[in-house]
Amino acid sequence: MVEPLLEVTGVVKRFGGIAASDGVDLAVATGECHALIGPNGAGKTTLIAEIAGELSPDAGRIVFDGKDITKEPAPRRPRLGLARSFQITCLIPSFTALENASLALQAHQGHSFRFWRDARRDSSLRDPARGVLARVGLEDRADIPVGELAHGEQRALEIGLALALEPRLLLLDEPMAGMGPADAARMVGLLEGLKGHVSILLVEHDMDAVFRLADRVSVLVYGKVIASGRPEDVRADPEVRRAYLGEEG
Amino acid sequence: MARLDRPLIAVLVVFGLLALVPVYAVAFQQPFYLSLFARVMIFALAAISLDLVLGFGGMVSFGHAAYLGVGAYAVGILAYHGVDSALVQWGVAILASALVALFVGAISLRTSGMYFIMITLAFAQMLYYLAVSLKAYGGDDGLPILKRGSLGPINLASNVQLYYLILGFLALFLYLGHRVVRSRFGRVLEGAKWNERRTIALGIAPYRYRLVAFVLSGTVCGLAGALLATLTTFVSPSYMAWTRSGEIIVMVVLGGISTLTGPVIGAVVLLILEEILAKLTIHWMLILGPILVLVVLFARRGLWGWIVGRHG
Amino acid sequence: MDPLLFLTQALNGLQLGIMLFLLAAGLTLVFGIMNLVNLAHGSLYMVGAYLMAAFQGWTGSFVLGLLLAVPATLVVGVLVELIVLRRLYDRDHLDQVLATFGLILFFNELVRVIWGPAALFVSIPKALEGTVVIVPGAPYPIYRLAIIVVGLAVAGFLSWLVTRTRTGALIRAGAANRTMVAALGIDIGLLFTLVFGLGAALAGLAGAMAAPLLSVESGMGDGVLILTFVVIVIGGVGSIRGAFVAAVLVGVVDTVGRAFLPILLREIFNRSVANAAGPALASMLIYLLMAAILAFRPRGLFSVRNG
Repeated sequence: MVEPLLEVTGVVKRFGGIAASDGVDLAVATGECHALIGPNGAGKTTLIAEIAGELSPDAGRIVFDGKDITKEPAPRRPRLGLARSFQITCLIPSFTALENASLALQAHQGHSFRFWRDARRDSSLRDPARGVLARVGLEDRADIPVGELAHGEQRALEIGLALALEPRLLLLDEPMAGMGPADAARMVGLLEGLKGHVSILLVEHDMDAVFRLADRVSVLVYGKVIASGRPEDVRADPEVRRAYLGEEG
Repeated sequence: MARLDRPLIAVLVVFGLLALVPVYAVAFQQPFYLSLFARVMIFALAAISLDLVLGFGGMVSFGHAAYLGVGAYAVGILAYHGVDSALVQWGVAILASALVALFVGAISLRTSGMYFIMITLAFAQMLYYLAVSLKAYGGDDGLPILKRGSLGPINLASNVQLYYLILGFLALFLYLGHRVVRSRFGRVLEGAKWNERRTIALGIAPYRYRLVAFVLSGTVCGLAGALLATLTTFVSPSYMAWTRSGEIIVMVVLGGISTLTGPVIGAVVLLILEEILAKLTIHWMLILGPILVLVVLFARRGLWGWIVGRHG
Repeated sequence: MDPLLFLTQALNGLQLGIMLFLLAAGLTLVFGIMNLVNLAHGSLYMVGAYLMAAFQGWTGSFVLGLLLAVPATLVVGVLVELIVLRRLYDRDHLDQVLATFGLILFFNELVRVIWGPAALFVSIPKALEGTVVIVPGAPYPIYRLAIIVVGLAVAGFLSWLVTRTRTGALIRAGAANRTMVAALGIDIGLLFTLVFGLGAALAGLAGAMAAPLLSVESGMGDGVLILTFVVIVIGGVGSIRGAFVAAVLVGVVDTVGRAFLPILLREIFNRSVANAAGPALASMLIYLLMAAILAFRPRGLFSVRNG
């Protein structure tokens, strides 16, 4: 039995009287694309934040690649192989797309206690940064400040920054949020290209994308995983239909 | 090779004019201008150091005058005990301000927002009261320095030579500052300022970078303090008054925050303005106060932004 | 160590703490609810003291002076809020710091223009002159006791206001989560002006009561402002309870520390070292206390902010 790449066991997170995570059990196998679906307020983003280290669980364990990372601070997790993208676009607003990518590469290459060389002219940053942008289709938009990028381009850059960290596991929080059909199709194509190369935990509402991309699906409702398995099995599960798909009609 | 664009021309003009001040002062026998502009340049140095943490780092430090004071007192106390070498005096000043900045920064940077502002202010005030309580070194009245230190072939007793030395330091640290903010370190600092969450998600821990920036800033400000003591041959707790910290912040914002060169302009304008207003009325603070409020409310890009337009 | 001296100093510390509480209570609400760094709070304290001196001079009565000075300071505070501070709520902290710094310079000079550079004096009312014997051998000034009593009464009133009235509930909610309160449709502008006015009145009261004890002069609010900051940092932004605990703590530690640390040092070290280090260390005491507390609780003892 191969160890899962990511194993979340009994994770609990309370905010006041509400348990956003109420004993979450989840496993992502190496190389798989695992989708996490659930109604609004189910606690999906909270769980991503806990796996990424932004939030500290009140109870439970998070094991990544055999190592217990529950107490690891957030900045250390990319170095361990975890990279996340945000549901609400979270880029450096005054930097260009290239500069955002360069910063990601700086972080990936080690420490940044270098005080002399001009980072903007550093080819060991600039060239790979262009490569990162090319991977997500933004090579022509390199010198545009991110505030002026279209929404779809910003979402693509979010993925790009996560990829720049060369992670073993991508934590994608609604990458297609707010996208029109053309952009969404492009994003699905991009993610399909990643399958097999990197493991993915994908939070998404777009059901077409989920069933196209996911090897397995877990359903999160009120902070608990109520079903987990192959997409067609989950789709047919009556409890899931009642709790989630039924509401969508 | 840097292109000859507006910002570079502006910098050359400013330094050119500053370099001509001693010529004017000697030719027209107005030594007052020599000491005035020497003081201006010292505060410009302090303002540049503050811009690193305030402009590029996003850290509103309201206690930078403390480093001026530490640097000045290092020189004053050493001189009092007979240590005459300027190299030693300034060296100790730099070391002392670095240590103080390390202590203050290590604690303050664990907080943010208004906590950070209040804590940096509080620590500066602590040092002010410490200086006041040091009766052996003059306390509230301050400590005179008998003579300026010796610096090998350079005669610091000569106002002109000291002036050019200060000018040299200003130019050097302006250049170094520009290198630092354009480096990888500078990018991390700025990235963390604009979006700390994203920076952390990339795997960067902002605290250590901010602490280093804070120490660098405090150290350069300490050097400015040492130069101030050497120039005025006097140290006093008033160098660390919290209003002094406010003045330096004003210089940075007035000149143009996050530009490094802007603060130099800001220091020149603010100190010259204070001189002019003081001659007009003894109640000049009544005018400066509202001017400040209006500048903050309406003028967003500072004087440097106005000088270099959109090219800066 | 002389227990009677300790008692007297502890009471002095309590009195200082009460004063700091009056200033900190209003300011911590302004920080917490309006997210506004207001450096000019010390100026309101100063204005309260000056108005007290002026009104007591005109009416010849301490009580009338107090009854006029406090509302007048409230009016000044509300005017400052309407004219300047309103425009700062949406600005970043740096802008707020600069603008309110400008206000300090303005007010410090304004009082000099109106009342001259010399310090003013306010006399303690006849009824509160002299001392009372609390413990045999320890006479304590009645006026200082009166300040403690008034301060505790105000603390009680604030506690009632904040925990038992609808306005108080709004204030607490606003301190914890400003955006939520606005989203609930509350007239946020009115709430802000109310909170600011309350803070101004408290600052004015503190200034007016302090007037007989200190010299009323330009810049008297500056040192006290920074002490207030220390109190708020230790107590936690937005918490009145925190402000009370921290204020008393700071007041007592500072006063008792200044009185006894030099004595304590003289027991351990020789006289010259103790005389040099004593006052120096005593002046640093509360800042070191602040640093120690921040090491464990970066947001203060009773932090309430979560939104």
